[in-house]
Amino acid sequence: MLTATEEVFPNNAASLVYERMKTIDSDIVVVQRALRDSDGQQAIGVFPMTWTPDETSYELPAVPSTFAAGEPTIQRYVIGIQAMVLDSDEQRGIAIHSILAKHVRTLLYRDNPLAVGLQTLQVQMYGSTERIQKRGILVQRFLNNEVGNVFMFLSSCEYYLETETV
Amino acid sequence: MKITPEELSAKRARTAHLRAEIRSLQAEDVATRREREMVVEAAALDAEIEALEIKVVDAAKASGGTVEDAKAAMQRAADIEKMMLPAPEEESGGVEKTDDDDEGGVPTKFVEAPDEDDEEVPAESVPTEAIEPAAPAFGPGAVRPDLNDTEEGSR
Repeated sequence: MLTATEEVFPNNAASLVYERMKTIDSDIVVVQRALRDSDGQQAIGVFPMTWTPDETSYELPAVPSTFAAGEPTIQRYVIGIQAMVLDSDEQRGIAIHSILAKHVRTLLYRDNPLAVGLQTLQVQMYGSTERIQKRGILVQRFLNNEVGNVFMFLSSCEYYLETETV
Repeated sequence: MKITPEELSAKRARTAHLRAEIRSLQAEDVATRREREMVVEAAALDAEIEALEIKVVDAAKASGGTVEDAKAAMQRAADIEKMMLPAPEEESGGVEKTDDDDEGGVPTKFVEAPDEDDEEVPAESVPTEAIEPAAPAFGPGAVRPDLNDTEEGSR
């Protein structure tokens, strides 16, 4: 049976992002999954979203290696980071959420410990080693809603990690 | 090469001082040979600091690259960052506001930056206590704007 102890991308990277998101503010609820509206007035959720192979990195069929023909050596993972603010005052909610969304982006770009942690990660599996080579933000989308006189503001940030397997 | 946090701290302090001095010269609008030399020195120090940070990462990679290793490396990086942040801006000199400023005049009173670090200081001679750490950007002790403190007032 598979166990949760085996570390692979992107869950290992999501764990580090989750750890650093907790440093934004001690009052913000941070979870390692997509957010629910019951998670609190200010909350952040970190979770894996997509995996995409780099089509320019497919191995040639004739090359004997640990890779199969057509297997990519460069892969892109996207980690979703949702930031949510619930407020009874719409203008205040907008203001708070814009600050929180900015904190999330700034941390992803500038936080040195996160950079060190992500560069440290490596996964050895099936005779090859996978490491992060590039990272950055693809987009941050903003949504809002009103449920029972509570205004909800949500931003969904897509943070990509490009890995190389050798 | 053995790296100590104190050595990195001294290099960061020197870089911060150079940048402050460069800003002061730029405020005077005088491009001098000394300014150019300082820009080069600051860039070299930046490169050196980056190389040393890579060594910290390499050491972590050698330990296995698991999430636990990465978290330990993150903690070390956070500790180093806290120790090495440059002194607050106000100690770096600059243009001080004068009474004339309120009447729309150009600020004219120039405040000299402290000159105790004017000469090259060997890393060993810089006590870490002398470098006042600013609040870190993230992590414990970070000075964060209050998310609830908006123009509308607090909840």
